Formats: sequence, C-alpha cells, structure tokens
Amino acid sequence: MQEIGQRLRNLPTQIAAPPAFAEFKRRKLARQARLQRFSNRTRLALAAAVAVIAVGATVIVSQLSSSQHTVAHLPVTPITQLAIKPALAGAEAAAARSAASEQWLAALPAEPVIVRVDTRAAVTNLEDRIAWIDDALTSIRAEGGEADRAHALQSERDRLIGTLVQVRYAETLVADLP
Amino acid sequence: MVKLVEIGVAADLVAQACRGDEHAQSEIYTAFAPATLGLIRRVVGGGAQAEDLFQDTMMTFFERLQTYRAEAPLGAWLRQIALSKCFMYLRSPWHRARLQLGGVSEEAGVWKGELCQGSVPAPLAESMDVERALSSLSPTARAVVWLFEVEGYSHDEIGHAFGRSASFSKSQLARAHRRLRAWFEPAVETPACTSI
Repeated sequence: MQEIGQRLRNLPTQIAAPPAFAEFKRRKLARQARLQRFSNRTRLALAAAVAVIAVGATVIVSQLSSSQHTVAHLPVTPITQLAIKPALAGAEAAAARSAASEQWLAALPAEPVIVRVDTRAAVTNLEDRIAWIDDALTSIRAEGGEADRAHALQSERDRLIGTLVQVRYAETLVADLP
Repeated sequence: MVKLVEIGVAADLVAQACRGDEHAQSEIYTAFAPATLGLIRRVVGGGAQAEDLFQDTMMTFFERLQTYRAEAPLGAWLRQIALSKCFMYLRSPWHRARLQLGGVSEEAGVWKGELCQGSVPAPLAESMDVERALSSLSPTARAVVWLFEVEGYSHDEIGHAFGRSASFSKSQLARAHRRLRAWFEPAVETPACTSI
C-alpha cells in the first residue's frame, strides 16, 4: 500500500503543457463573450416568454369579458323569436300592464335596508337588460323603421318589467319579515 | 514532484497582480499553471474536461485574487479552488450521465494497457506505468486515491467533498489499491501440481 502511494507521489508534476498566458487570456475573453451572448439570449427568451404570456392573458381576459357582455345582451335572441309570434294583438294591453308595473316600482322605496346579494344581482341584471332594450327602442324609433322588431323589444321589455316587479315584491316581503 | 502547495511567489508580485498588472499575472500563471493542470488531470482524468476545468480554475483564481488574505500559501488557496471545481464536476449528474453513455462504469476505468517494457528509459517507463494504472481506475476511485495518497486529505475530508461518509472514502481507497496492486503485481500463474 505504501509502495503504491510512493509511486504516485513520485509522478512528475507536469503531465501536459498548460496553455501559455496569452492563450489563457484569449480563451478567457472567448468564454466571457460566449457567456455574455448566452445571457443576452436568455434575457431575450425571457422577455419573449413574458410577452407571450401577457398577450395570452389579455386575449383570455378580453374573451371572457366579451362572453359576459354577450350573456348580458342575450335578450336579442328571444326578441327575434318573439317577433314572429302572433302576439302583437295584445301589445297594447301588455304596454298598459307594463306602465302600471312601472308606477308600482316607482312607488317602492329605492333600496331595502337589508340587501341579499343574489337578489340584488338579479335586480341589477334585469335593470341592465331593461335599460339596454330602452336604448334599442329609442334608436329604432329615431330611425323610424323595423316596427316588428320594435314590437318584439317592447314585449320583451314588458316581460322583464313583470319579472322585476316579482323580484322586488319578494324583496319587500323579505325585508318586512321580523 | 513539486506539489502545488509548495510553490511560492513573492507577496509584492501578488499585490501587483491584484492591481491588474498583466506582467505579474503572467508570472504567477507561469508558476502555478503546470502543477494546477497536473492536479486537475490526475483527479478528473485527461481530455477536454480537464482543460475546461483548468481554464475555469485559473479564471476564478485571478477574479478572486483580491480576496486572498495570505492566511495560507497561495498554492494551497489555488489548490482549494481547483479541487472544488473538480468535485463539482465529479458530482454533477451531467458527468455521471456522460459516463453511462460512454459505457464507463464506476467499477472500471476508461483505459487498460500493458506495462512499459524494453525501449523506454526506466524512470519514464515507471511514470507511464503509474499513469496508466491510475487511468485504469474509475473517476471517483482515481480522485480518492490521489487526494489521500498525494494531497494528504483525510477520509473524513474526502467523504465530505463527495457528499458521502468517511466509509465511502475508505472503501473506494481499498478497492483502488486492490486494482492497482493487481496492475503492478499481476498474479503469477503457477503450474498445477499434478500427480503422476
């Protein structure tokens, strides 16, 4: 064992000539340049990845918000379906009921003391839809055309007013409970 | 054999090198480079890896030279840098994967040859034989043998360097010694005793 150790210790220090100092410096500069290039490339790749993620997130968010927007304006589809129904004869009666309902709604206190979140959301949703239909009706009347579409929108508005009355009535009943 | 820790340089030369004097750096490099490359080649084996580790070591050495406090010889300080680079390389999963891809196991080394006989001068032949014997060991066993026998590391220090216990170092050393003995003292085939 000692003999093996001795043989190893007797080996010469130098087994291969190291590069000269000038060559060492050249390799050092080359390596530093390579590292710099690599770090630049990494930085670029990171920036590109961040940009891609940001664009992806923006697209997803915009799609989500547009789908919510579509949901909020869904009445358009039932309105077109309603337009072909032969219910135009009772349009005047519906308008009268709607006007009465609106008077009743106007007589209600603006906001109950205790508000349930789900009820409030339903009320807000209905009010938004009614406001949208009002806008659509105003523009149709201003342009002076599409009487069928105006009737359909008016029917949908009456229906929504009826629903809103029911919800608000239930809300007032709950608010009156001890 | 002049060990790396035994090489000395003047303190003012180190100070000049710290200030960025290229001439001083060149002198220090010339003094230490052969022993450093020799140490690295003996621990990790020859080839491009040793060259890379050497370049890495010397770059780190000059980068950190300003932090050298002269509490130990400069050669010992440089040896520490070189060996930590070698340990990192030997422990790296990339190195292990490369060994497996190259078909080199931890049991056997990369090269086997015959002992030098005849035409080569005796001292040179002896060195070549020892080098060949050393290269016949696995990378880990070669590093353990060199650190224990030549660099004077203890089993605890070697085990710690490899992230293992002292027993790991002892068993690696025993196995390497067995292999080296078999290399230098091949079993003599004794004729079978046959009764007539």
